[in-house]
Amino acid sequence: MAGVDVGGKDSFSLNLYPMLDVFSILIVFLLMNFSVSGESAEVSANLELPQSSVKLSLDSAATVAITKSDIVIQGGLSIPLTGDAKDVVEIYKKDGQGAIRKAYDEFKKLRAQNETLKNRQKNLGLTSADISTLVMQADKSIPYRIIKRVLASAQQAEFIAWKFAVQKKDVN
Amino acid sequence: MSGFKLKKRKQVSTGFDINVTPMLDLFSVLIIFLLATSVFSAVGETRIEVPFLSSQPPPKQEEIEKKPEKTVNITIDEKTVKYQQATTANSVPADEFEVPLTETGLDKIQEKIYAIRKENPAFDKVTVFTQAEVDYEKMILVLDTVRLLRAGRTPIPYPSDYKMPMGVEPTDLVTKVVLGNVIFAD
Repeated sequence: MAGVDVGGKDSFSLNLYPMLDVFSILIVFLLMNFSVSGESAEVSANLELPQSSVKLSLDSAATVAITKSDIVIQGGLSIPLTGDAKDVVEIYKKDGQGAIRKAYDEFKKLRAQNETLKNRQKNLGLTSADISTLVMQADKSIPYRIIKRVLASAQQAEFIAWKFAVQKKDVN
Repeated sequence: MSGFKLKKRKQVSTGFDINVTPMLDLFSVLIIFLLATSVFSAVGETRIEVPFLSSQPPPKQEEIEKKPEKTVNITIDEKTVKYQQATTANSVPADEFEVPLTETGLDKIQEKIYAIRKENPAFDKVTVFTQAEVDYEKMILVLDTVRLLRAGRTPIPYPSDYKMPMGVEPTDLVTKVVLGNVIFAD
C-alpha cells in the first residue's frame, strides 16, 4: 500500500481535487443533456426498429406498434398476426381497400378523441396538436404487405401523415 | 549547463482545509441519479404521407400542359430499386433505370433527385412504391436516400416563398415523401 512514513506513523493522502473536477464536468454534461432530452419513446421489448440517419427525435402522437406477433394500437387493441408473420392480416383481406376492419374502427375512435382534444385546446386558446398524424413503431423484419394494411386502415380513418419510428444510427 | 538545483517547496500550512469528501459523495449520488433518469433520445422519426382523396378540383389539363412539373417515382423491390422520372403532362417516363438495393445503387438515385432539385429548388415530392414482400428495414433505407442528403452534397435552399411542412429539416433533399401503393391493396 502506498504510504509515506512520517516519523514512524503511516499517513495516506489521496488528492481528490482532479476527481472532483471530472465529476463537475460530468454533472454539467449530464444536466445539459437532461434538459434537452426528447420525448421518452417507449418501444416494445419484442420490437427491433430499423436504423436510420435521421436527426429528428420522435415527437409525441398516437402510436401503432407492429411486432412480430401482433399489431397494437395505442397500447390498447391488439390484432394478432398469423404464425409466420408473413401472411398476416390475410384473413382481413375481404375488407375494403386492404384495410383491417378492427384497426379501422379503432383508428376512427382515436380520430374522434383527437378531434375532441383539438376543440378543447382551441377553446382554451392553446395551440392545437396535429390530429391527423400517427407514429408507427414496426419491427425491421415486417414485410410491407402488413404495414400497407395498417396504413390503409388509418388512411380511411383520416390519418394521412405518419412518423416512422427509427433507431438513430449516430446514438449507438 | 549550469546546474539548477530544484528546491523542494516548503508546504505552508494555512490552517484552512476544506473537506471535499462529502462533496464527492454528493456528486457521485447526483451522477448516478442523472444517468439513471435521463433520456437519451435514440429513437428518431422519418415523416411520410399517404395519398388521400381531396375535395379540391384537380388542376386543368391546359394548366398542366402549360407548365408541366417533373414527377419522380421510386419502386422498391426485394433486391432492386427502380427510378422513374416523368412529368405531370406526360406519364411516360423520360428517364428510367434500375439499380441494386445497395449503398452505391441508392447513391445513384439520390444523385438524380439532387440534380432535379438543383434545376428546380421548389421540387419537393417523391412517391415511393414498395412491393409487398420488402422488409420495413429496406424501405427505411430507401426513404433515407430520398429524404436525407448524403455527405459531400451541399443542401439546396428552398425558395423564400416555399411553405416548409412541419417536422422536416430545411436541409432535407425533399420534404414530402408519399407512399404510393397504400390503398387498393392487392
